[in-house]
Amino acid sequence: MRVMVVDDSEIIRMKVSEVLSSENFEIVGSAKNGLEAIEQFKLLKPTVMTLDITMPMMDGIETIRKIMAIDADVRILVVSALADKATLLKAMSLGAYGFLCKPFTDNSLAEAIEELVEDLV
Amino acid sequence: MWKQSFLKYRGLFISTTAFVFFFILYLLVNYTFQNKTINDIRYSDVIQKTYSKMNDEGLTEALLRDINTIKVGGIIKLSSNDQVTLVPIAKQLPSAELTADELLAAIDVNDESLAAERMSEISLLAIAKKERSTKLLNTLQVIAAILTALLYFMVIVQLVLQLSKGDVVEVQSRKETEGIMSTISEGIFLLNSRYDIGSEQSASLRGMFKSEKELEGHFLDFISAYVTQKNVELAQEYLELLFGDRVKEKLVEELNPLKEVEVNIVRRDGSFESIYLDFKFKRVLVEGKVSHLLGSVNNVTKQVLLERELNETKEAQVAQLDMLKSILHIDRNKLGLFFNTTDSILHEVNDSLEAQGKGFSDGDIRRLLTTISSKIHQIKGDAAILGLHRFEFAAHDLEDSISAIKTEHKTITGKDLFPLTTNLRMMFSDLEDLKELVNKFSGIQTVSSDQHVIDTNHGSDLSTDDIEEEDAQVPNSPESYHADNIDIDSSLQQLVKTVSERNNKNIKLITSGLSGETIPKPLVNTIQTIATQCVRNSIVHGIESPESRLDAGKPEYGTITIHFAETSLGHILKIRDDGAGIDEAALLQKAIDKSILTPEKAADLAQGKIKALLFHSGFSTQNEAGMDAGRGVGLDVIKRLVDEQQAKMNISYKKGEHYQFGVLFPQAQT
Repeated sequence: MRVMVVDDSEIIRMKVSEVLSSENFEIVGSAKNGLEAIEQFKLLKPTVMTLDITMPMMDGIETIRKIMAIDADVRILVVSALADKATLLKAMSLGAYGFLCKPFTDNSLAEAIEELVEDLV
Repeated sequence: MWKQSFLKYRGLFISTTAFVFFFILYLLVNYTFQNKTINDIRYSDVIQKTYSKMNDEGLTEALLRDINTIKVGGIIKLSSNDQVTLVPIAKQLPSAELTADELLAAIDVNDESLAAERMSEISLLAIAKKERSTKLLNTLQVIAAILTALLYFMVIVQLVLQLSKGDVVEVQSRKETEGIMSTISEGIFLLNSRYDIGSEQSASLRGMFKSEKELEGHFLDFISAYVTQKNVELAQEYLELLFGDRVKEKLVEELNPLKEVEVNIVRRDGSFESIYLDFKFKRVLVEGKVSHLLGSVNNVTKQVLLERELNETKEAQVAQLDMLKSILHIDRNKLGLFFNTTDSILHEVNDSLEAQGKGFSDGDIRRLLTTISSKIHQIKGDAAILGLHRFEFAAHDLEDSISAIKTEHKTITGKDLFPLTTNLRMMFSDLEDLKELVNKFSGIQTVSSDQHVIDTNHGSDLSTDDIEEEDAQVPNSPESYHADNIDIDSSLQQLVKTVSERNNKNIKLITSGLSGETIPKPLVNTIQTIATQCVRNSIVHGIESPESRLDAGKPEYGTITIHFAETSLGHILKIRDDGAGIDEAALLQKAIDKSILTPEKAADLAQGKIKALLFHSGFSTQNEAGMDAGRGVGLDVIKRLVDEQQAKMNISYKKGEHYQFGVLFPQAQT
């Protein structure tokens, strides 16, 4: 399954990629802000996207809005700190499928992704 | 599904099918037999009529034709409009065939009596057949009626059985559901897509909300009486997500705004109770679509409070560790001095609080509080300079409590002072903790610095216990500190760093004459306290923010200089900052606002008197009392110390340029 990782922290991008690769997901791209994410999304057409909310240039909320207009089928997992439930609920109502709280463990990330795509495989 | 309902209603299904099948069969048989019987009756009638015609008219040509028709079959005309088609007699009455032949022969020979005899025999046969047929038909109809009735009865019985069986199952399952709902400790309810609370709910749900009857109505309306509006709005968004089919239920559980939510419940006696409830919502799927949400509620107050307590304990441990780290850097003698001063101040404050009883007027108590404030402020300053932040904060809290009492009560009475004892107790216990820590860790600090003392005075066989014992005595003898260990300069540098960071200012401190033996022993404590209060005032009130300084054309970094020296008149301490100086107009206005001065008096004040205002207890130019300044106590403390030393002080300033505070300690004193 094709996955794209979007987060402004390089450490988080590396961590997510590493865990998901070991779970047999194919990491097709990674981006450090919303603008980059949308550029790459158009080219790569991933099935799954992990997305941070607080990012420079374009935040996660705006990114979800734009991506839904391009392809509403992508399964977005918001990976963010549980700071503001209102924003996170907003992300879900815009079209994200679920939420994983930062900081996460390898296990909790793998489980969340499994849950996210359980009806696809 | 079809198979299941078939098995369930099998009996009813079979009996109904049998009934319908039999009924159709009956109709068919009845139809056939009825036709046959009608045929028999008609044949018999034709024969009777022909017989009576024979009797009436004798053996005519017409009679011969009719009897022939009866024998071989065909149309017979009984009257002008009555035509009947007959089957041959061999088919209708086989036993009468020979008789019919004989009848015809008799007619041929015109033997009337023989013909009549034969005709009579045929007639009897026809009547017998007619009667047999009729009887058979009747019997058949009766049997059919009985069978129909029986089968019908069976269907009814099956139907009744089925219904009552269904009822029993339903009653049984309802009983079980009720049993579960009344015993389960979780609050359980159902929500439909319009967010209406379903009537089926567990009994404990009522208990959680202290409600007499079942919960009902719109869930969000219901919950809005208990939680914040913000949470209600978030809950609506969350429930909308769950009723939709996009989000993954498990992956949004964390976003549930009603997870461990604080709920305010009104008790039956009208008082409030704050508890923590944990709501969970699960999708109920019917044929792949979300039809309802199953809500469950648990009272998690105990868990939440326990968790909080654990966190507090953890924080307290961290604080203790911080304190430990800070005391490791503090000079032992200073620490001893701090212990003694603080201990005596706290006891003094405690005694004065205990002593005040009946007969103290509001004015007396206010004066007492002012004195206490001033003393506590000194502890705060000392703690700050030693980096004992926990102590500094505790002193600050006590000051806060005092100002709260002053403003909250129009007339203060003894019992209004009660909250202060809590603050005081905390400070005592902090002090005890600190002493204990110092005793515990005294070995670590002293072994390195006092190594030579041990070697020369006691030899190397001195046990650790002896060292501790010796060191433990230090805090109890304030006069035993070594002058060369005191480093006021570095403490003040540390203070400037902490306080200026806290107030977002950029400041450098330059000192001269503060280190080493230049300060006479009896003055060390006083000088340190005065310098601390002054530096603090300079940072908070005097030196402007870096932005305002740049705007005013001043260097971004403010400078505080402290100078201590011995002159022919005595020792001089000068503390100067290049801050905003003092705005006299603002100062006077403040004094008027605080009702310290009337506007008329203010106008008459000479400059010297304006300065006196600065020392007025409880007077501050800062609008909000912060951690570092703003209570108008700092200068009050200085004045007290200066008076104690019979020293003289002097203030000079220029608005926008500088502020300088000087003290002259007379020679005789030092």
